[in-house]
Formats: sequence, C-alpha cells, structure tokens
Amino acid sequence: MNNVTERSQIHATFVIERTYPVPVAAVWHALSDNDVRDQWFGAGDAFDVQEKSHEFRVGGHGTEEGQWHGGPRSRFTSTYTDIVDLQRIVFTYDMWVEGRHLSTSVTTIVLEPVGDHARLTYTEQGVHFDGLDSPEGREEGTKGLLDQLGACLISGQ
Amino acid sequence: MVERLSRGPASVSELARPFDVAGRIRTFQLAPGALDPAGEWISRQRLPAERRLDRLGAVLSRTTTKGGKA
Repeated sequence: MNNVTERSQIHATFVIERTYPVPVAAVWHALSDNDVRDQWFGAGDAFDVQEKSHEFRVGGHGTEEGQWHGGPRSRFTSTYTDIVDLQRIVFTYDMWVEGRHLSTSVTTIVLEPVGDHARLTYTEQGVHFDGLDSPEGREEGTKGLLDQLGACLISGQ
Repeated sequence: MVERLSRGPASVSELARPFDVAGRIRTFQLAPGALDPAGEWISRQRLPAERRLDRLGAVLSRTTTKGGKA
C-alpha cells in the first residue's frame, strides 16, 4: 500500500434523456415527494443504509450513507441550488468512498411535456478526484447495479 | 475500427469492410472521450444515474396502472 495520494482531477459531462408515458406533474411528484422518491432513488437491497435524509427546497440537503454488501462504505450528500416548479431541478452532490472524496458534481434535471408524456433530460457535470475508484470496487458495484436494473425492469412490466 | 470511428460516425458495413464480413446497416459513433480517464469517470457515474431514471420509470408506470395519484 502506498500512503502518498497522487492528486489528479478529471472533468467530464454526460447527458441522459428519458421520456416517460405520464404527465410532467407525475414525474415532478416522483422527484419531489419523499415517499415516492424512496421507491426509486435508493441504492437498493445490496446497500445497508445507515443515514438518510432529503429535503426538497432550494438550500435543502440530502444524505445517504451506508455500506455495500461485501463492499465499501459510501456517503452521498447533495444540496438543491435551483428549483422551478414542474420545469427544472438543479443540485450539487458529493461522493465519498471509505472516507475518501471521489467526486463533486452539478446535476440539472429539465422536464418538458411531449404531448401527454414527459421528457426528462439529466445533465451531470463533475470533477472526479485522484483516480480513486479501484477496478475491483468498480466491477463489484457495476454487477450490483446491473442486477438491480434487471430486477427493476421486470417489476416495471 | 477505433481509428475509423474517431473520424466520425460509420455504418457497420463500412467498419466491416477491412475484415471482409457482412453487417446490417447500423451507424456507430465513438462517444467523445470513451477511451480516456474522463470516459471512465462518465461510465461510472452514468450507470447509477441511468439505473435510477429507469427505476423512476418503473415506479411511474406502476402508479399510473393502479390509477392512483400520479
């Protein structure tokens, strides 16, 4: 093990677009209401949550800290910086794994009606620190995520 | 193939030409930065984000099917 951390920072942006067959108001409700949000936002069964909070208002914070089964401890904290009713949500968030700072991101969610449906555009701009993700942790995390994605797609049918 | 894609989008048949195999017409494009460290970061952040948005879709379809509050 090397105790000296080599410092580095990588900046990157990605965009995800989804169109849901429901009105914009329904998507907004699922993004902002804590009970509905709990049904989709959490990390799932492979993650034991030890601390969790979410406050949907400008300046409000969200926290999710816990342990992946057989994996690392991770902490997510967020702050809403901009909310325009039924149209736009902006928040910043930070990720820590095993107490080490992984990344800081700005996420912009834009909703717009497309006929009776709602288009959601998710843009994330981030800085990733010190190349901290180990390939092993990444593979473990990715497998868990793919399992959950499969389960979710089945339950959504 | 990577070299060809780095110049812009290409169809399968165009990509397959040097390898003497047949392919259906589908266009492929190299995602910007897919091969550098920023590309790695994107794939790590993007997957959980996509998973969440797909779960959101599943929740939305359940609530509308039930005819409940949506």
